[in-house]
Amino acid sequence: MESSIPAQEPTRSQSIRFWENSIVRRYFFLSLLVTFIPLVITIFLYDRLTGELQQNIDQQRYQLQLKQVKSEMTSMLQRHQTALRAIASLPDIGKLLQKDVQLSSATLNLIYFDIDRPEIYGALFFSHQWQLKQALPGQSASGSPYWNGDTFSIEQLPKIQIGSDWLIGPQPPLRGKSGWYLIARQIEALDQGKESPGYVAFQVRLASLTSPLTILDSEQSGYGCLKTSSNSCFSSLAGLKPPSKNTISSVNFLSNWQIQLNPDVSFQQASFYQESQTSQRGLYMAVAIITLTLVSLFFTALVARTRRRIQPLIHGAEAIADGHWNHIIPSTGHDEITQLTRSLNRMAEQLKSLMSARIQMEKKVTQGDFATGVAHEIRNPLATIKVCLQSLPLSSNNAQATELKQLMLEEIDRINQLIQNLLDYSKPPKPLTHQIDCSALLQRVLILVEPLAKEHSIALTLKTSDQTQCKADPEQLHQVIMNLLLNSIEALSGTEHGQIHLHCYQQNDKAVITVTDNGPGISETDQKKVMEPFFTTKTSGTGLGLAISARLVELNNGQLSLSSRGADQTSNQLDSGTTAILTFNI
Amino acid sequence: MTSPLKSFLYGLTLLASSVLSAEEVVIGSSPAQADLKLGCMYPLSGSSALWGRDAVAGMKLALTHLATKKKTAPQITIYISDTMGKAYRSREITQQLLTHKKVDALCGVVNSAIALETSRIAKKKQILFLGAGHSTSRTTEEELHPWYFHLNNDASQSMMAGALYLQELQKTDKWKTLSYIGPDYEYGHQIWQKLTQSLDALGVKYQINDEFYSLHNESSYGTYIKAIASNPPDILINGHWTQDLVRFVEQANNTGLLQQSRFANFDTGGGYFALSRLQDSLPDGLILSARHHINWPETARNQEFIDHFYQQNNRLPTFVAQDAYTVIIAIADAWQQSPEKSMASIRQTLEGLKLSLPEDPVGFQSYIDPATHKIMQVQAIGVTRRSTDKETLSVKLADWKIYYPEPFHYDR
Repeated sequence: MESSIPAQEPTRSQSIRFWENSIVRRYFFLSLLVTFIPLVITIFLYDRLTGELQQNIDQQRYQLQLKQVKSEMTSMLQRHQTALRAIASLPDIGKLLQKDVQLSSATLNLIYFDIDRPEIYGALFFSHQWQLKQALPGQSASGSPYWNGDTFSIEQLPKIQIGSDWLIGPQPPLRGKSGWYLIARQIEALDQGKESPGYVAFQVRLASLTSPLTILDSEQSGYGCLKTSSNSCFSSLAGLKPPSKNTISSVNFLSNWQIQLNPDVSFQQASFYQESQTSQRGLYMAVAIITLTLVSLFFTALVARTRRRIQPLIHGAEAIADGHWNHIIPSTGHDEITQLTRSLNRMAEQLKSLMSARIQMEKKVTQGDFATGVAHEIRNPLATIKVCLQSLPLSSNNAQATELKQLMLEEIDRINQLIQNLLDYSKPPKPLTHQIDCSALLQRVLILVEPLAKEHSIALTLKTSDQTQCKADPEQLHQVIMNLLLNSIEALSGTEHGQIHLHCYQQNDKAVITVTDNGPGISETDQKKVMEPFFTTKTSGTGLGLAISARLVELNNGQLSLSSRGADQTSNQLDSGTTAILTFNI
Repeated sequence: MTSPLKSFLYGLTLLASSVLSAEEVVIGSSPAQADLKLGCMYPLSGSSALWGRDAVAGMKLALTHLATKKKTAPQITIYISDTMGKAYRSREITQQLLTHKKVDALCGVVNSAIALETSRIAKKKQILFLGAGHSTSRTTEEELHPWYFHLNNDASQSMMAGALYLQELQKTDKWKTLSYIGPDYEYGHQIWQKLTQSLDALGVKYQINDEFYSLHNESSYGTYIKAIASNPPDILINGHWTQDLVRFVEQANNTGLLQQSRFANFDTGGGYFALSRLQDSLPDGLILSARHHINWPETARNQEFIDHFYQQNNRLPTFVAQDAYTVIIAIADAWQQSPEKSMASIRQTLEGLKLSLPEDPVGFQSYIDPATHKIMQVQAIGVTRRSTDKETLSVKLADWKIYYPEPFHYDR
């Protein structure tokens, strides 16, 4: 059957290679692209926006911290300025600048009380020309100018004015000595209109002024720095640090002083922001790479799975294209591919049926053409032979000759009938369908066949429903039923207790007529061929009866099927028999 | 009322109240029977009161010792006034002791700056000042005068011993760098100045990483510890004492600094106060020393001193107790040896006076250098180690290295 399909060139499709011509590859890379581009855009925007936001937040935070440091430093200076103001206004304080003049114990103790703080080394008294005249040590006093041993000078130190007071220094720390500065105030004149006798100053520990810078010290941001007018940078512990060119944030403090937040030494090459951003970007890149890797792995697995699912479809389609209609594509699951697989399988089935029907039709056409041709070519000479034979004078005495002539004429008629059958099969007349009362039709046929049945001792029974109607050509239906009954009688001839039962009923909008006999039945092998023309198991007969009947039923939009149980299929011979089932539209 | 005036009045009120509330302890014989009257100044209240209380206890032990061991010893009345650790109070008290109590000699003072100030008063008034409890060497160097005697090892002596120890240690440990942290006042500055001078004098090669001075009574040393740890030295020299030392060691140990750098305190760290307060916070291997130790020298005299102190006070003595003890023994010995019993004669007798003290090891006797007026004593330096003697301390000093006074004999 497959061999009858015209060869197609080429039937084998191109092989699908993933890296060359696979649509899955295109979708795979497209998917990666679709994932990657938004990811990169998102990361880029996030990086930009968060970076700016972080910088703004940090700057605000730093400014707040710087203001806090400034406030604490200002507060400390003010505390000392207030104490200085109290001392500078003492009535006899100017005596301390005079040689060999003893100050009252109460006044001295009051000064000592003010300088007896850990952050104040002592009180110093200077002349107008800033020459040191007196040094009163506090509990933290160390070395010169309070005790002998060191040198003390403020000549090289910068002086800046803070309101009515002076800030002198700072003096950076030296080996074995802390950094310090002086906060000084002019002593009020003893008498109005007279010149002030000089200055009183506190020598203050520099680290106490710079200690609020610890607020700025952080491993992330850097370190706090008090930058003075001499461009010195003091850390929170009053240590000298190199001035930074990359100050992160700053506020002005006093005249020409600044409180700065500087990047740490370890951040010389890149600012904290840059490092922070670099590390963030590294993180983003890592996330992007991980995401892409995961997406790639996911898609690779998906692609492999899809290819595994599609490959059988390709092979199946190729097989069908090659005419292997019996090829079944295995299908599992419930998804689209499964549906496609089932559709392909159904398509193959349909194709198979279509091709089979087409072959049958072509076969019938060929048989019809052949039969018509043969009938035409045989009938004419056969008619001539018959006429000639009938005209042949024969002696009435010659009984043998007469018998032979009669025999020849009968054989000619039989040939003629065979040709007629052949013509009926190959080119049956177009049916004239009517609404038929099936019961009546069966009654008529039964009456016609009954004598023959009695002759063969066959019991004929009929069971009908009065309402059963069908749509068919009455003549052709009559012929079909007659043919089926004759076949049954033939099958039962020579058997005892032969029975033929006709049954007519309506089922599912169809009219069903069955002809059942209890004959020997048809073997399973023969059942497949029994509808084919010229197939017969009898020694006589053309083998066209059932084929014509099937053709007529088909022309009347009906169906003829046989159900038979042969003697080889049952152990009890009485159970054998054949049922022909006719189904017509109502 | 203007704020300076308010401040002035407030200050006056505080001064008056503090002077009026000054505590005074009188021990020894009655003033009427006294051969000598001493006016000593120590903190008897506030955070430093322990030192003053130990000084009083030390002087009591000395008086008991004189009464039992030296029948010819003078009758001494000792006025001990509470300085509260304040300079202005010390000046006021000095004046009161001189004018009201009419003391023959001054003694005491824990704070170096107050000691210097008192020494100047003593110089001016030409009254004997027996310094005990402070460490500055300025009193016997730049500010030296005939009426001042320093009766405990000062910073120059303890730091010379420390420098010798470091010199020796360098041969085995190959240390190269030092950092320093100490209190930001005379004592803290002196410790570092004297140590570096001594190291330079000995020709020791070293580099200084950092040098920090913390505020007195600093509560947190986090910033300093972080700064030191950012550039850790091989050896961290510490010049703190009292609560500052305890807090620093605790915090440094908690942050792991003591594991990064070897810790050394050559002047006060080995005293009973630091050891008893730190105990389990003290890791092994810290290099410590003090002017007196509870487990060195292992002599009957030292053990007797410690036992008697414990019996009377239910605690072991700090080094200030020994310092104050020395003052009484020294003035008593000088009085005994002085031919005229006058303060001028006693002052002269003190120059070169030899005296036996609990902290003297076997074969050594403390003496006062007539040139510098410094007492010359042995300095012992040890290393912390877990102790099995849980009754006293769980950590004690061991591996002693002993440094005799100039010319600094070194004895293992």
